[in-house]
Amino acid sequence: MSTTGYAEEALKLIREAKRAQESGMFYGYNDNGWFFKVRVVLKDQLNLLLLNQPIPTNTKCNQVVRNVKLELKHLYASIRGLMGQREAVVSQLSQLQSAMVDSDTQQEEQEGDYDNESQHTLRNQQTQSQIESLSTVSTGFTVAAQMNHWAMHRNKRLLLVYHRSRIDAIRDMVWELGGGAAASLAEEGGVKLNSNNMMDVDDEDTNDPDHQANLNAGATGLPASITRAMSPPELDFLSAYRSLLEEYRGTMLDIDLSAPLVPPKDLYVDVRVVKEIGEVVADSGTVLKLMKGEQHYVRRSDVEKFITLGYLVQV
Amino acid sequence: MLANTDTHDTTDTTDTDDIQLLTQAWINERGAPEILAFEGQVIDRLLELLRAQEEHVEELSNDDANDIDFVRSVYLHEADRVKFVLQSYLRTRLFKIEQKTLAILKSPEYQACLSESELAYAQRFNQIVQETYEKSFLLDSLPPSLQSMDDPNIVGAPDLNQAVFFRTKVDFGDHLLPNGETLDLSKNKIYLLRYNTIKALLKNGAIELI
Repeated sequence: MSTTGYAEEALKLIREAKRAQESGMFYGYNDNGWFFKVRVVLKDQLNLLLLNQPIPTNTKCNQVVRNVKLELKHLYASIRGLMGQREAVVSQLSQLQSAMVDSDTQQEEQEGDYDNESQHTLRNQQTQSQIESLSTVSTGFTVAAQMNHWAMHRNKRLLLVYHRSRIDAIRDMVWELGGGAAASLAEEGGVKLNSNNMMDVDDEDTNDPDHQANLNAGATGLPASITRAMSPPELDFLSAYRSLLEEYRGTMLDIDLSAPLVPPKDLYVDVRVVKEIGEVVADSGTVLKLMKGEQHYVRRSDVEKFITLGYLVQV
Repeated sequence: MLANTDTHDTTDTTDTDDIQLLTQAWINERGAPEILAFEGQVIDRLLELLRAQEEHVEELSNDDANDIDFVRSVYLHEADRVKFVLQSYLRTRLFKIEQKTLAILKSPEYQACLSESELAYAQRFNQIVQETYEKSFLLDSLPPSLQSMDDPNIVGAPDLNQAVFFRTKVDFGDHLLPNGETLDLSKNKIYLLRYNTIKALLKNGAIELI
C-alpha cells in the first residue's frame, strides 16, 4: 500500500460494502486471516439457504482495514511533523520581526548618519523579503497539515460506513432467522436446536470441517459459516444484539415480534415437517406431534417459528 | 395499503376506534421520515381487548356446535390481523430507532416520542454499536480529537425534506408553503408535499399519511 494515500485504500471498503449489499453476500471481515466469503441467498424470505464457498480472494485485498489504519497512523505522524516544522518557522519568523523592530529603534536613536541609514534600509529590505518567504513556507505547512487532517476525517467516515454496513447485514440476518427466537424456542419446547439442523440444506454433509463448529454455534444463532466471516468485535455485537432483542421482547409478551412480517391470510396452514421436532406444546395450548415427513393442518400462529427456523415447510 | 386494512372496519366485537387509531399510527409511522409519538395508550387498550377476546374464544371452544366454529374463526382472524399491525408498527419503530439512533438520543423531543422500553433499546443499541466501532478501529487508529461521534454527518438526522402523500381530514383553506406560495387544502383530498411543511398538521391529527 502507499503510505501517502488520501483515503484511496478506504474507498475499497466502501466498494466492497456496496457489492455486498447488492449481491446479498456477507464477505469476510476485511482484515488479515479472513480469506473467504459467504454467500447468503434469501429464499422465500423465510428459509436461509447457505452456501459456504471458500474462495481465496486477493491477499492484498483482505487486509484493507489494516492498511487504512496504517494510513491513518502515517497521516497523524505527518501532521505532527508538519506542525513541528511550522512551529520552527514561526519562531524564526517572530525572531526576525523583533530583530527588525530593534534595529528600527536603534536607527531612530542615531539619526543623521547617512551611511548607516542606507545600510540599515538595505538590511531591512533583506529581512523583509526573508520574512515574506518564511510566512509563505509556514502557510504551506498549515495547508499540508490541514489536507492530511481532512484525509483522516475521510478515512474515519469511510471506516464508519464499512463497519455500519456490516452491522446492518448482521442485524438483517438475525431478524431473518427469527430474531433470536431459537434460544427461547429451545427453552419452551425442550427442542434440541443447533444451527446445523436449522439452516444447512444438505444435512448429510457431516464430513464438512465446519460441521463440529456449526454444532457449537447455537449460542450465536447464526451458522458458523457466517460467524466465521465476522471479526471478534462483530461477534460481540451479535451476542449483545441478540440479548438486547430478547430484553425488548420481554416488554411485549403478547406480540411475537420476530415472526415473519407477512400479512395473515389464513388461520390454518398445511405444513410438511422436514426436520423432526417431536412433541411440543403450542402457544394456544394444543399439543402438536411433529414427526419428519408428516403433513399437518395446524394454526399458523402455532407453528410460525418452526417455519422461520426451517423445520416446517408451508405447502 | 389502506385497502388491506379497511377489512378492520367490519369488526363489531373489538373496539373499532382503537384498531383504526393503531392502523393509522402504523401507516403514519411507515410514511414519516422521523419517529412519531408512541401510541402507548391505544396499544395497552388493544392488548387488553385481545386478552379478553382470547378468553372469550376459549369459552366458545367448549361449545361444539358448528356455527360456533365459524364465529370462532372470525374472532381468531381478527386477533391475528391486529397482532400483525401491532408487530409491524413496533418493528417499523425499532428500525427507525436503529437507523437514527444518534439523532434520536441527541434530541429530547424525539426521546419524548419513545416508549420506556424503546428508549432503553435506543440507548443500549447505541452503546453496542459504539463498542463495535471502538474495538474495531476507533480507539487504536485515531487520535482522541477524532474519536468523537458529534459530527453532524455522522449523526445523520432524518431527511425532513422528503415528500409524503397525505389525505386531509378537514378543510384548511390556504396553506402557506415555504416558497411563499399558498395552496388550498380542502377536506378529503390527497396531496404530495414535503414532510416538514405538513409536520405540524400531522401532529395535530388534521391529516393522515397514506
